[in-house]
Amino acid sequence: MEAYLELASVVFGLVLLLVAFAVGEWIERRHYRSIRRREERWRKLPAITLASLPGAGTPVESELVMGHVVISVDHFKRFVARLRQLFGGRIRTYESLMDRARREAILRLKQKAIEERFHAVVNVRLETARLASGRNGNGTAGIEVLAFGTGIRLQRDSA
Amino acid sequence: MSFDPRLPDESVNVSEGSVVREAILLVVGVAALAAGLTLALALSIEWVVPRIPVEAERWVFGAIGEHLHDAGFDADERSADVQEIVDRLAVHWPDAPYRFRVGVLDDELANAMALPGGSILVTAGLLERVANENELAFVLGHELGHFHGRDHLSGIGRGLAISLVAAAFGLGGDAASLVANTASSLSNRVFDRNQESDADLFGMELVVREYGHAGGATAVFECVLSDPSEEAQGRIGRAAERMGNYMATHPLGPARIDALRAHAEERGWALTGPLSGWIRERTESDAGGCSARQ
Repeated sequence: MEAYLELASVVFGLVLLLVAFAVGEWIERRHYRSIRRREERWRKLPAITLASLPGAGTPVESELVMGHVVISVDHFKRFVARLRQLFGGRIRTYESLMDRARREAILRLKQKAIEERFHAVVNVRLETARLASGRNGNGTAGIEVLAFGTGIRLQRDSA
Repeated sequence: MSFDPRLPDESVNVSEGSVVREAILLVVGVAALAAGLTLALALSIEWVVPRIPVEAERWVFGAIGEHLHDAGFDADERSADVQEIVDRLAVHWPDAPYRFRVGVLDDELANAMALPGGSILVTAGLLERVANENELAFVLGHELGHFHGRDHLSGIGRGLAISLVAAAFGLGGDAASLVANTASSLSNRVFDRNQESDADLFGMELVVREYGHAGGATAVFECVLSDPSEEAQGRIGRAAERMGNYMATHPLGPARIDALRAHAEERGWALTGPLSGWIRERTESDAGGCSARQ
């Protein structure tokens, strides 16, 4: 009777979790493939935290370059993370999420720099923001990672 | 220093290992913890309830009977007939510490419930569907059995325990609360089922003493309570919530019929015998449901 309803809601919850996991996993793998491909393609463009590119001389032109990404948390990741809050420990389901977001933000920063024909991006910094959802601002709708730095153009002979 | 471009190091930032395994471990862990807590609370409630004086229960819950009276639950003309059957059954439980009061609840779903303080509610749907007095008497005896086991009190206590456990885990987020609540209420069902079987046997004993046989007892499960739709279930569940009372529900199952048969055989009680008519103006032929199949 009531037990059936409860059972039905448990089964429904489980199915939802499984679907969220399957889809989330598929999206994550696809994203990682794309990240690795672009990292390989743009690895020659320096994006570094130093204020200047070592051994490159004085840049002739510089400009702010930004790349940012917003990624949503899937139901499965959130579910596991919530349970984690009870016992503490690493929230592994969020680790890959954050990793993807940071690398994607840097890749977009590099993409922008390439479009602008910069030779390098220096002084690269990362900022992270959480997008809240829900009435009380407790839920996490997703995260934003912003990568910003100074794109520099060098003189031909020193580049 | 020269610039030597490399790909990002993938070895440190994302922990190794399967997240599925982690999820399963966490769910099982939370569920086991919640079930364990609920069982511990339920066991202590089982220990405490028999030690609560009936006077205390009457003092706390006596108002329920008054409220039911004020709300007109016993205004139904049939409630006097039901009251009479209850009174006759209660004769066979001479040291019953309650004064039982019967009310009729206007609901189509066949059900009955025992409320703290000694009130018994039967639904109009039950009265429609019983074919004879013996069937009704067994249901009423079953409710008296709940009073005998003081199940209404432990029911309230265990309901509180579930809320308490779920609320405690709720501090860890709604996912934990959900898992805990499910585990908690599932583990509680063990107690519910035991209470139902105990009440069955007690009810059957009262019926046998009153009528000399247990005729009608198994028919209640076979016909009267047999087709509650899920929609109706939800409706009466919400009705019970509105009333803020514990409702003793009656899970069905051939297991309960088998248990009744086995018990009757063990005690040498006849499962059939002359059945008494019920409900004044209704004759055997136009009574629907169960009697049509008999």
